[in-house]
Amino acid sequence: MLSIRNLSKSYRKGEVKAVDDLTLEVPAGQIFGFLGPNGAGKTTTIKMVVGLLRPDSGSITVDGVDVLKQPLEAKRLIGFVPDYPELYPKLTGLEYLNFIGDVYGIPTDLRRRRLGELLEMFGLQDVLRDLIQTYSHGMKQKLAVIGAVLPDPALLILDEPMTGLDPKSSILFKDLMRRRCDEGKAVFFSTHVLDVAERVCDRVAIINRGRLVADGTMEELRAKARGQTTLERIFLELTEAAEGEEAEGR
Amino acid sequence: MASPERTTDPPVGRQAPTSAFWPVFRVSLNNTFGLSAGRYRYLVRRERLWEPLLILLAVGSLVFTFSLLGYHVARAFIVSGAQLGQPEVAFTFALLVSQALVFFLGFFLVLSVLYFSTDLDILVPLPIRPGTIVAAKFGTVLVSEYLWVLLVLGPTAVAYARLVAGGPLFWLSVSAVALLAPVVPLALSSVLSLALMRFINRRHRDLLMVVASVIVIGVVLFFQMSLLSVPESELPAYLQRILSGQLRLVDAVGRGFPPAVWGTNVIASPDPATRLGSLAALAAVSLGAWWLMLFLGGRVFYGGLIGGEEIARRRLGPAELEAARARTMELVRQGSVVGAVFRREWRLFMRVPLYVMNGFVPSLIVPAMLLFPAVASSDPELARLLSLLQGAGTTRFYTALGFAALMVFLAGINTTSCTSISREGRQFWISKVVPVLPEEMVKGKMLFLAVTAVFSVAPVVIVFIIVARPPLLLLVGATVAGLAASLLALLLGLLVDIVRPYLTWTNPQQAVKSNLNAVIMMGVELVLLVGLGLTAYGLHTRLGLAEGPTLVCLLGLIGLLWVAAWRATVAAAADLYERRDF
Repeated sequence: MLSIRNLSKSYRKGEVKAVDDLTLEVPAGQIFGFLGPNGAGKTTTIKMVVGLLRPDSGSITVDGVDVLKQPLEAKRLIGFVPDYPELYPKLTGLEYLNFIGDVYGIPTDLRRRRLGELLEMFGLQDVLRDLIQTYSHGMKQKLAVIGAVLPDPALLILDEPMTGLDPKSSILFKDLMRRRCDEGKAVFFSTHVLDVAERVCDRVAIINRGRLVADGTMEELRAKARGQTTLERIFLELTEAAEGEEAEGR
Repeated sequence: MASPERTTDPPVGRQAPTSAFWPVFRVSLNNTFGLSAGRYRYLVRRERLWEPLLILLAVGSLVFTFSLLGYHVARAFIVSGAQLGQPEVAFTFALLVSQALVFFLGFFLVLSVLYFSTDLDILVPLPIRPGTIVAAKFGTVLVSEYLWVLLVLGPTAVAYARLVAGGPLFWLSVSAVALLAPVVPLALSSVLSLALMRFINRRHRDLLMVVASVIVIGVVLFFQMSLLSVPESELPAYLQRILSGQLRLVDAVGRGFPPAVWGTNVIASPDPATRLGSLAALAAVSLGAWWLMLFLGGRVFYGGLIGGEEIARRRLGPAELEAARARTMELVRQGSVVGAVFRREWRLFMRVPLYVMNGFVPSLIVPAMLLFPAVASSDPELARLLSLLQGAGTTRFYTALGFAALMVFLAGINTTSCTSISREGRQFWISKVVPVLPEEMVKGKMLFLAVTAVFSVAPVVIVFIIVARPPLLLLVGATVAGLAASLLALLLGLLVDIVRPYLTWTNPQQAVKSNLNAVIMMGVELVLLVGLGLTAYGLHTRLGLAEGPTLVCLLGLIGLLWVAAWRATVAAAADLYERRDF
């Protein structure tokens, strides 16, 4: 579903390599966890996939559509929730969702049906006509999730999606992700909460200093991390090992 | 075995730092004036090096123009005052004007930095006293307010030094007064804004900005009308009457606002004791106003701020909830992509009073300022000018073109078009990720700008009809030309903002007021107006083309320029939405 090939991005005229020759494959029907320490390049990668940043080199395709060459077609296939949901404070929740519905061309009947389900799920029905500036952080996060799922995209991309969600909403959201994957779509999300990644993801990739450290199912990662059992341990083992190798190389 | 001696850091986090004022002030100053951002862009990355030059040129020319104007006004006051033995009255007037400016403009700035600034989310949770935040923010506004004081007081001091007396002591006194002058009015406007925000419901605070702006506009128009109702030939005598007659400006002002008189005494009193006494009074009152502001800030600032924008919602019963859901679902309906962009632009603009005031007020004030003398003045010179404008021939045609140019000017000077992208700020990511063609985005934004153009064109048309009484054909021709050129100006403004959007602002005031695009837009508009004006002159006067064909040719030229500008805008939009990093 999502194919990333030899992706690189640097800042300050090449001085800082945020993403370095990254190659990833996210198959359809899978929840894919994208892990890494702070500054590892997770958000930069996600921003390149959704079109907020332009890669220096490499390619990204979503369901065979090249993100760089056919940006509009690719955007139709993607739903995106950023780490901090900056939504228009002077629009109401309903106006925001209608805006999203209009730009994705969702017909009225379908829009009403999907919104009915999503609003019920996240409990936002009775606040939808209030300005977004009156929403709490969690409510904004829920609205951003609803906005991303409303067009029923083939690929849902989420940057730290659990931040701000209450436990009930988190459970519902995980169910929603699973259901989408069962329908043959894919979910690609970054998180710091390794516990969530361990329980929810079908496959996990670990990135450190812009480079892919590991990629596989939990079993494959356990094998690679010399028998470590929890993802937390695997994460530490693999990122530290990668850093050690890098230091030796220097 | 002796245990190794443990060293522990003192528990600094549990004690408030000696003074958090300077760190907060430095950060606030840095944030407001973009010092680090500028240093990084111009010195580290060495990008857009032409920008500081442009800023210097723009600010320099504005300062020069204002200073020249101020110098002439001050000179007139000094000469008139000298006839009464009171040349120093010019200082009272200058101090009063600068302090009024500081009070009114400061009110909006203080509101914006204290209640609408996003860095408060960072500052409020820190262990800093509310009074310290208020003081640091106040200091930041104070720095920008010195510009007004210098612009008004500077030319007056130069004129006074040249005409009356100067010397090192004089300049030292002027500097001391200039430093103290904005403190009292700014502290008063801060106290007013703190008190108002404490008691006004947060949801009505935008309305407060509108009401305050309308009051300021009313005051400006009142003075405009008062001055314009006096024939120009009688203006010196009128000023003389104000200075010498019953009004006795100095005394009147002194009774209402003594700091202006104290400031005058510090600078110009021949008696050293009066000078020192006035300086002490000015310093004491400034200190008192500062203390009052801090005292009030410490007690009510958080009360007015905390609670955020979030509102408590009443729990609805099942029946009410069902009805609310049904009503919500009725509002869910499909629209076109361009319509969606237009509606978003309209709502995001109309729901921020600051944008509305900046967008529409100049379009109302400037025509009103033209209209008042035409209907209220008894000046025979003006009456003669009006009859000339209403006459036939070339003058009438050029009058019509002048009004068309005014429509374009008003469309361009409001910042609506050149902040089209900038206003999205940190929410710009949404426009980048949604599947909308750059051309459709431009269409939606341009549709909104076309609607705003009506607001800048309509008042001018009304004034044109009242002042020049043009024949119908000329009225229609000038209006069509003015509207077409206004739309072109707005498109160019949009292009400017697409090329260099300012998206990292922390409050809407910055998006509009600290946006260099407004200056660039003025230059673009000047070139457009001069170009179109020269074309009209060449066609009508040089080539002898009749009015109708001249207008048709002008419209053709505008059309051609429009096509070129549209292509450039769509190409720039494709770069912005599809290729540029955010």
